[in-house]
Amino acid sequence: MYLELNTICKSFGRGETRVQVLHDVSLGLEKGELCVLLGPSGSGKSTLLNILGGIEEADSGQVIINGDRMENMKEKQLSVYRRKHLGYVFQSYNLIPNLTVRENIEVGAYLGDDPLDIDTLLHDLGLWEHQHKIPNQLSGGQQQRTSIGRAIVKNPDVLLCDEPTGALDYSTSKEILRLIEEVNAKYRSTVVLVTHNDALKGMADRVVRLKDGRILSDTKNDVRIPAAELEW
Amino acid sequence: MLRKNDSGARAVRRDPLKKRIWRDIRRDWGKYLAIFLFLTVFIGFESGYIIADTSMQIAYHDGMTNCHVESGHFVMQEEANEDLLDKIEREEVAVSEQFYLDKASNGTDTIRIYKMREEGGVNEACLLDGAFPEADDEIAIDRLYAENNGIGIGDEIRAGGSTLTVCGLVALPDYSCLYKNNSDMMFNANHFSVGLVTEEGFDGLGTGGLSYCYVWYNDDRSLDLKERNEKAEDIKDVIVRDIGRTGNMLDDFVQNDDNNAIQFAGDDMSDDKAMFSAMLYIIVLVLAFIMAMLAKSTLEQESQAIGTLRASGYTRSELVRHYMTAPLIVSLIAALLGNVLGYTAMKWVVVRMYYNSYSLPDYVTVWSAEAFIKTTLVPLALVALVTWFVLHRALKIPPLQFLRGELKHSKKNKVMHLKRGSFMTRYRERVLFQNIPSYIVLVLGISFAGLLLYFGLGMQPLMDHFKENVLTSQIAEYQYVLRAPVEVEDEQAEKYSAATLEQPGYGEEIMLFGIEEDSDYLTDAEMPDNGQAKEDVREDGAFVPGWVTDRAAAEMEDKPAFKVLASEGYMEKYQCEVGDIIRLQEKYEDRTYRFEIVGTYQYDAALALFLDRESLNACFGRDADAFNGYFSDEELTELDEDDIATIVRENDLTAIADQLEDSFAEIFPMFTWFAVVMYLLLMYLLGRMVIERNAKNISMLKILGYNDREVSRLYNHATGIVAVGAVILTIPLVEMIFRVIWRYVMFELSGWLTFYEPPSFYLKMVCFGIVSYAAVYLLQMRKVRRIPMGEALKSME
Repeated sequence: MYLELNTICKSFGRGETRVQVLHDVSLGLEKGELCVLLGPSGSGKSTLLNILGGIEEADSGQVIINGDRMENMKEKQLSVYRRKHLGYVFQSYNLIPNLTVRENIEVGAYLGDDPLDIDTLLHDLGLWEHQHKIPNQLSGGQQQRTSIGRAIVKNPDVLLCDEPTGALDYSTSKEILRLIEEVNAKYRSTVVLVTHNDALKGMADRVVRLKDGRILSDTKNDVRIPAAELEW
Repeated sequence: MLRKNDSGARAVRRDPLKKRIWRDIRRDWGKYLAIFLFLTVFIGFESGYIIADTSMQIAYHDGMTNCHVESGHFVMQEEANEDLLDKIEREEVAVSEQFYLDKASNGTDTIRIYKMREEGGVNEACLLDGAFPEADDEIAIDRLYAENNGIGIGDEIRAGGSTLTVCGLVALPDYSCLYKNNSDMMFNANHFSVGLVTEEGFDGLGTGGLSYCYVWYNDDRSLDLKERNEKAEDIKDVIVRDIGRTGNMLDDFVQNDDNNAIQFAGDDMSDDKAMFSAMLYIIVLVLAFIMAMLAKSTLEQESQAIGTLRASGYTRSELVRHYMTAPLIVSLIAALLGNVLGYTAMKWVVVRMYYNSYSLPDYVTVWSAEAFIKTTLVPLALVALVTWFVLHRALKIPPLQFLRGELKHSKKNKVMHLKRGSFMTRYRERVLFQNIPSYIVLVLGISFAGLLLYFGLGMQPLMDHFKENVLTSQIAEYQYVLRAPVEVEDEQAEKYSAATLEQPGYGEEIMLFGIEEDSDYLTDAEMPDNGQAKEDVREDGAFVPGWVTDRAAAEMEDKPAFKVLASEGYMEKYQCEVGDIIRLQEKYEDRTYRFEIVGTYQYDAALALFLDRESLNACFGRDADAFNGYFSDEELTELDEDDIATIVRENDLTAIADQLEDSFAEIFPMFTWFAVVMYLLLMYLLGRMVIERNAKNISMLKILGYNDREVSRLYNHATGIVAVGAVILTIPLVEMIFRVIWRYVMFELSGWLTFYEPPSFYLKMVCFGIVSYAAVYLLQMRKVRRIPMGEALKSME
């Protein structure tokens, strides 16, 4: 397994207000696998993604990536881990407001040892024409494409996407999904995509359904449906 | 499609975040410009100060060396005999005459006239303008006195009964600071000058006011302070032995290191430097905190982007470094530009200040590494330290909290329950609590600005009050000090007997006035009864109520001390109370005296003790009716000029205040301006930060229907309450600090200026604060007005 989650537990709050968000969740992903984490709001999917990304600490359990155990890592080691292995895409684009599209992508490239060619990436993301614009001059889709560019330019082993299409319209969402699919195919990046949109399950190698902090089902698709053909 | 970069890691070697640093500065240009300008001016001033100070100190010390400044001097009542001078020279020193004449000029001034000094001789004069005297009626006078009195070359001045033409302006190394007497509270460049005339010219001026002054010059120039003091002591011993033998008297004896006229300028330069450096560092610290707050405010606005960067692998240190860069760049440019200003425009302010106070030779501007370190490296280090500390702490929050915009360190939701007051009041309270760190910086900054304002506004009333008190407590219009007791017929004249002792441990001269019991001049003072003490003296003719040895001291404890009234300044300075027994000692002997303070007398001109004339004479073993001066409200024309040692008049008494006013005439208004700019800067920046931090809330309030004035009442009034409250409430703290500084300054000087500020001063302080806030309020209103309603909707995307 390239990525392993073993009996992860996580709760928030204390005493009477304590809420158990994840109950002994275990999950293993192969290198290059595209996994869709499905579930309603409050099911714990984003928390699981954050634990995987090393930005949230599990109460118990283990996260192992390529043989490295995360729970013993200190803050600096976690930063190196994220720098080396992870790319993040969020529902809100979180771009740096006074950097251009190109520069926002360069921010990601700076973190990678072996980054992708930015010019090519800008073309592929359809942002070549917009590379000198700053975020507030872009549409939501363009901003999300920029944020994906920032995440993938460093050529990460794992791409974590938290509701990447949550704030986008139908056609833009499909564009973004196609892009994620491409990244996965081209670089064998392991992709974990959190969504509440059931229709996205078709594009995954693996579909994990969460409910109330527990894995409800963990299935594999024999055939992946291209993102372009997804309908919802 | 996607392909790897051929050049790999080399593609983005430089952190792209660096590209936004200038954009950040541009975005916040208003705030950074305000900080930049203030920092530049202050660093410029400090740098100029150090450069001018260093350059002038070099000129001062070079002047001392090149002009062969004396190792010390002594003044005899009669001309010293050759034998004495020979004996002194055996102490490995060269002795030479530098007799002088103190001549009255323009009614109120004194010109101390010397013969032209030899080139290469001791205390050689430095010619600054014009020429040295060649004709008998020519005089070269001190440059500073000439400037202060508008005297130019070619002008005529009065010196006693003679008229002399000013032919040149000079600086004498033994009068770099124009102290008439070493014991004077303050130098007096307005009413006292030194002058040089030809030998014939000197003889032609008569002997009125003649002092037999001799200077000595140590053969060995490498003696340390202890050795120099020992040599001076040896010389003094030789003189005292001679006095016992010949009956001549020693009027004055001053070693170079104790001579205010030589040392004060140099000491003052160093002292001021420490004070201004401390002031700069406080200002830099306040500004550094403001910049750190600005950077922190940016963190809050960009929290989600920061969360993403942290989640993507940016380390905390990288982000701390990034957000520190803008404040550091602004500080660096301010420091560099400030240094340029320091070497050019600002230097002149300080140079002018020194030339307004001291008689210094010409100087050459020198490169000062100290200025660079103190005004560039130290401020940068302070800014780096403060911003690092604030940002490092702020960025300790986990990435997820940044992503969620939860920027509190504590995970607990501490909601303060505010039950009292209207909604508006409670809302304002919440704004206050939310912005506590910014308001703490605001209060600290306002306290410091208040201290500057205190100096700016408070010194003048303090001086005025002093002068007023000096004049109301002045004993008589004319206070004659006689060279020998001369009787006069004038009814206005009232005899007094005076003596000078020294405060042990401080070396400060304390005047003792022996006043007539039924004095016409000290009508409101009842002199203490010293019957028993006088009786003791009469019983034992050999007994003098001062003692030399410890054994005698022990015996003295049983004798009654002479009772005195002490001037209020003395009581304050040495923190005495009525009933205290004080000890004073002779300046040139080891004899110590005891006095009991039985009351106070308001006499602000000097630190003085009062008792009746007969008691004072008894105390010092003088004849019962001895006297050495007259008080008079009119000029005593019967007295011959030769009989008068000196005349103390109104301007002599107010000299300290006059001179402080002159020396700081340019500095005090500058302090006021610095303080006001600092008020404006702090209130504007921190108030604006509060508004920007709450831009979304303000926008939402507008959407809900609140108008600009109502929104402003919520946010700007909170800042206003803190700002104006701080201005008012920190006044006692500021006054306390000022009093401590004032006390320190007063101990550096002779005499005492009682601390006093009129009620109008406090009102002015408050008004300055309120007016500053009113100006800022208008700007903040504009800022509130400019926040669009769409701001609140941005986060909804």
